[in-house]
Amino acid sequence: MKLGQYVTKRLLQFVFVLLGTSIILFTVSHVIPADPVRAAAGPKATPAELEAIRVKLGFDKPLPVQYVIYVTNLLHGDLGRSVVTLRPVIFDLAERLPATLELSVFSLAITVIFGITLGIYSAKNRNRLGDHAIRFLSLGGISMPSFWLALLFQMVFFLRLGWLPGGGRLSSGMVPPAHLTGLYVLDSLLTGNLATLRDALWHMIGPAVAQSAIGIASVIRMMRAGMLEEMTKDYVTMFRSAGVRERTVVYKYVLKNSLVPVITLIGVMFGSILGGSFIIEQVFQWPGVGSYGTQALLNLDFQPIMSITLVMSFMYSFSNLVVDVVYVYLNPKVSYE
Amino acid sequence: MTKTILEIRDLRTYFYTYAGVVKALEGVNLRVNEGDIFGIVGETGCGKSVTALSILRLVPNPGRIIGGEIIFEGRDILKLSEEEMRREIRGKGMAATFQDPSTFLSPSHTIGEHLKDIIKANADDPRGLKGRELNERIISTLAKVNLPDPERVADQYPHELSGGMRQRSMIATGTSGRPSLFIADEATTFLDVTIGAQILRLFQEMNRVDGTTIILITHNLGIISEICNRVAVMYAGQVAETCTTEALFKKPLHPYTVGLLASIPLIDREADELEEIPGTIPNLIHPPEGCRFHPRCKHVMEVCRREVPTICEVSQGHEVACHLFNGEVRSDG
Amino acid sequence: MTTEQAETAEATPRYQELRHSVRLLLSNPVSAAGAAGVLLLLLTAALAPYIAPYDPLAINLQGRFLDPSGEHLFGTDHLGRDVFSRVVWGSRVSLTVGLITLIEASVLGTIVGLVAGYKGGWVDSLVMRITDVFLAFPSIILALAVAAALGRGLTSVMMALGITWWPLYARLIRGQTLSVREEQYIEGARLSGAGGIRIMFKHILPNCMAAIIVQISMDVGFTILAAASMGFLGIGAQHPSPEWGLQCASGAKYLVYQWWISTFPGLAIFLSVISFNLLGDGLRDVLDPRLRRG
Repeated sequence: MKLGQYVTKRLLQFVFVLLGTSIILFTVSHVIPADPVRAAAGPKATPAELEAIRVKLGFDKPLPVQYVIYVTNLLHGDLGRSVVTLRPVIFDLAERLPATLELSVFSLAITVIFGITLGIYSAKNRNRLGDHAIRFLSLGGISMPSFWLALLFQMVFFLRLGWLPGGGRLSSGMVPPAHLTGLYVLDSLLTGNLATLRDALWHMIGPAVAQSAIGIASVIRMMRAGMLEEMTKDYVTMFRSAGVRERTVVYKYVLKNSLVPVITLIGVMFGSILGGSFIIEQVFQWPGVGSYGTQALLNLDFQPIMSITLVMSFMYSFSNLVVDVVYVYLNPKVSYE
Repeated sequence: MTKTILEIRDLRTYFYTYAGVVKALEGVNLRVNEGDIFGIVGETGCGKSVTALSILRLVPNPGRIIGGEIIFEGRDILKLSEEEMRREIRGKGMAATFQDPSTFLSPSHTIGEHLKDIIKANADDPRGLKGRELNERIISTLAKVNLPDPERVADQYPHELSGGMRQRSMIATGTSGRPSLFIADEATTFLDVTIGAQILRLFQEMNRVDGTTIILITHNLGIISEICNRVAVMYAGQVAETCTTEALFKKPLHPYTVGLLASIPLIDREADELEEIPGTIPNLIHPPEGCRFHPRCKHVMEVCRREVPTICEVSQGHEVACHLFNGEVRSDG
Repeated sequence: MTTEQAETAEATPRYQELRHSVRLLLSNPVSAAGAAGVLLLLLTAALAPYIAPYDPLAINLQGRFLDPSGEHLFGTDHLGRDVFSRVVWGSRVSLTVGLITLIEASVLGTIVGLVAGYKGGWVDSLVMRITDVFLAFPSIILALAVAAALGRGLTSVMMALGITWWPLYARLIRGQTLSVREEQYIEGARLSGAGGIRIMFKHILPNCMAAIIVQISMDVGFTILAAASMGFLGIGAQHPSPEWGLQCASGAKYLVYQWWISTFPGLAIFLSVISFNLLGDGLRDVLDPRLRRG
């Protein structure tokens, strides 16, 4: 099947998954809690507020109807209200999303660049010192709790050495660039504000490294294993028998074939970056969706928790869609299945 | 006077595995003349493919060539460095095609890409070869292996082609460097009989028109009879018998060869005339002492159990490694 | 031969293979180190009352923020509790959560996967779609939402993580079942009258065991991490539990001068997870050729 057909098929699947996600989250928010009304209204709600929520979200009605109300609200952009900020969740999210997006994409970029490069290096220099060091570090990377790494990072690079800032997106006293996208790096680039650009990047280093450690480690491991396995494939023997340079064989043929499964992994990494943002943003005081979520968890602010989960899984599903399409584009064989 | 293009003397290739040392090739001797279509025939596991890989010096880990000489166009290629081997011999001097074209081609690259890199690697002036000229070379190489619509094939991926087209594409990868020696390892095993026949025609054409010497490795005696002029029969890592195709079928000497021929069903042979060679192929980690075939041989003698038979030239161009024929004229090249 | 004989014939060589695998595993220094680490962890958890010098919950406001010393190997925290004892007792919490989660996930996932793979058809498609949806949630997000809905506490975490993890096992077993289903001896069992359930559990399941074991050994580390992360975020174990993640969170405020409060629990998590990962890697290498054959 051609690429176009595949994209259509995949889009349908995407919609189906979104539907399924909403059902699961509906179950979590309306069925699982012992008292879903109290959960939605918050632990400090007055009886009047409880009643208002009960009516608004239709808790007195049968489940299917509740679900319809739920989905209708979603489609209207009504994601509930936070009992902490007292604002509609959707406003809070809109305000905080750019920060998380910027950090996540930056982390993903670091993951891809370092993961692939170091993975190739490791495979090429198999069993030599560099390889052993990289393998050791990547084993550590996937075993390390991200919050611990983040805390250690803060402790060493901020508290002891003062090389990195303690948190936030900009130093106090720095004015954020004109709000074009909400992404400070992009905005300061577009407005030619180099000082802000440098400051914003400097603030991203800590959280991004802490966030990508596990991703880089995973990509290295997969890249290395993949390349080593590809090197045993028959077409390598064929090219060698034809007198082709080893460099061409490895960097053109083996590499491309090895990258194919890594693409899927990168999609998964994006998901773990999103999921890890709760912790990372908390430790580095990054004003994004993650720290918003952590606050909500601490206060049992239920509606934001549900909405964040929904939004993040939508983002993740969408990125998987993109990854799958890129995968098929890179691996022509698959589209014929 | 026919020139020898490839001579293998006492080649030994061992595989050092966890289970033990597999003595895959234990003294292989071959002589291939220019212009031959030389067949190497034997059962699975006899070492035919290992021989091919050894000639190319591409024996995979944990294997190693540990002794012998491989003299190609007058040079012992076992003495060359890896870089010399790559630059001067592989692709240009000798090339190969292997049995499963679906794994021997990269799934993520077009046929044209494959050929581009191979042609460039073997061209005398790789930097000068680009653009249109390179493209023309690619198309003409594909046309020479009788691929219809070579322009289209060049833009396709291996999985988009039929089995026969894939095999031809792989043959194209081998011929694009214009080698003098072409090794085809089980080239038709995975193909339909009719497609296989076309591939064999192709080899004959290469041999007749370009003068390419071909070594055809197969377990199928039928293929040997069709296009090969000379044959070597291998058993358990050694060459049992070398002769012309005609001699092989009319006057086989080695008991193994005789047994092989007796076990093929032929149109004019009754089913109950088929004979089996008793026993199984030996364990190559602990091969039998003396002649490796002796445990299964009808004519086994005491000397067979103790001594490895030397090669004897029984008649012009017909060599056997068997104690039954010792004492005849010894072969020394 | 009868079904009985066929079953015994399959079982005995497998037991010998198992012993051979264990020996092979221990010969590799890296996976042996992992095995040692895991063993150490298990012993610590089992013998916690004997190893910990102090009561992990004993508050001593006179002895707050003491530096690590001979008296208090890892120092004391903001409530004067001995960090070393808390770390030792915390091993019980982490191990319990990790193992129970995985038992839930693997049992549920295996049953679903076996049925899906064996029955095929619409059952299989349905299961695949359902797992697709579950796997659409990034990392621990679903677990956080479920745990929030269930209320704070360790049981919520265990249930939430179980819900998040089972689809992975379902998919794994489904894949294995699909490849084993076509094997000859399954056909043989079917022909000799064995029913679906019997085939699934007596014939297909044993062949999946290697894959399950490898997956579990690789996942224990990750479940411990996930549970600790949830503890760090305050949704898991509650005060005064000596759960490692919770300890890291409590100590975060004091990073400047009392670095030991967060560092040692975190180190414990790190070492535990690395041990399981090393062991898992080793197990996978040892069992892999068998996986392919199965």
